Amino acid sequence: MSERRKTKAIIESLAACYEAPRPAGKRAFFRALPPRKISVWRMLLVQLGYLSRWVWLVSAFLFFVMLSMCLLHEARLGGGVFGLTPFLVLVTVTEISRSLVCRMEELEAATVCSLPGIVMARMLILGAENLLSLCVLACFMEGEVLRNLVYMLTPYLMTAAASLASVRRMHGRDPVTGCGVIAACVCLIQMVLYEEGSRIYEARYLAVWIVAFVVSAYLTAREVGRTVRRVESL
Amino acid sequence: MELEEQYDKIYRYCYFKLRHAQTAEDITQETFLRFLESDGYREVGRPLAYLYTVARNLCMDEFRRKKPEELLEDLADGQSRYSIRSEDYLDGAGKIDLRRALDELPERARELLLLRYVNEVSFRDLEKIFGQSRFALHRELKKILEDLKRRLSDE
Repeated sequence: MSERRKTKAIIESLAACYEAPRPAGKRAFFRALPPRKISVWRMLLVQLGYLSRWVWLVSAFLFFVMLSMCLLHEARLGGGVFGLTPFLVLVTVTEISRSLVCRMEELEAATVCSLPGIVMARMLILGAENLLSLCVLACFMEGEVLRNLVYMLTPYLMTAAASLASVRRMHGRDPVTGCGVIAACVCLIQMVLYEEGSRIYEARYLAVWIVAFVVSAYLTAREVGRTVRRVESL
Repeated sequence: MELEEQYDKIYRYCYFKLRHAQTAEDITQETFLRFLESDGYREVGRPLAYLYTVARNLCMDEFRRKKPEELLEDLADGQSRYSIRSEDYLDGAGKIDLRRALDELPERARELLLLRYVNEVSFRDLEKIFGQSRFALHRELKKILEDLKRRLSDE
């Protein structure tokens, strides 16, 4: 027997040398273990890894399109950027509802985190990413940053509320069509109003915008709550 | 890291250290409970090395706390620490008693063999457990195997 084969044979025989009696309480021990805790940050980090690469790619693409519009055609097309925000929602909502569409509820509910927790974590990550993009864009646009943010966030939140409501009512069917139609409608209304030279972006209508923003934010928060409650009841 | 899979390995390690099935299982469970309580380490470090370090320290505490004769009750008189049957290892010359050869090795060598070749702990984890570089451990293991081979040939 060659030296190498001898060494291999010894290594293979070692497992039998160290044999121990069968552990008697293994199953009972694992059954009695309390559910493992996970910190919020850890959960967000884990969920970050599960988000589809397409979400990041499409979001980045939209961001750069909007940024280019701001930088290249500041005066004329800056307002057109507002109309593209619903598409950010489209990407976000379709990603959030992916688990519902793919019937992953039971699988996810069986993990360490609860399914509502997972949905909330995804909403938080994607919402934060969208908000950050919009804040950056608002800085690059002509005019006051906060005012620009209100102009961008209002259609965004309107689309988010309507999309979440439609996902909830579609009962697991593909949400892309429904959300796409909503996003396209909001975008179209924005574009038409802007191209028609509407005065809605004038300073005197800012109060109306703020009211619309508050109402949209309220409706979105309500829809987020309803979506989470619906997931809880699954 | 699959906890249930590691349970058997940690248990085998504790049994190797203590030679008492019930105590080994108690220490294994205590190891896992401590491991699950320490979220902070698991998130940043090497969890397997941590698990073995906890088990090792608990075994040492147990060994200090109890008298050796209390722990060795699983072994009958004259029985080797290792349960191998002589026909498990064969070479051209015939049956070789690997068990006896292992008995003659120092404790640390036996521990290294168990962790690396039986429990399949990586060198990166061994590095953490023993506080030595993986190259030094690699060399040491190679030497141990050579020693074991030599002892077997002598017999």
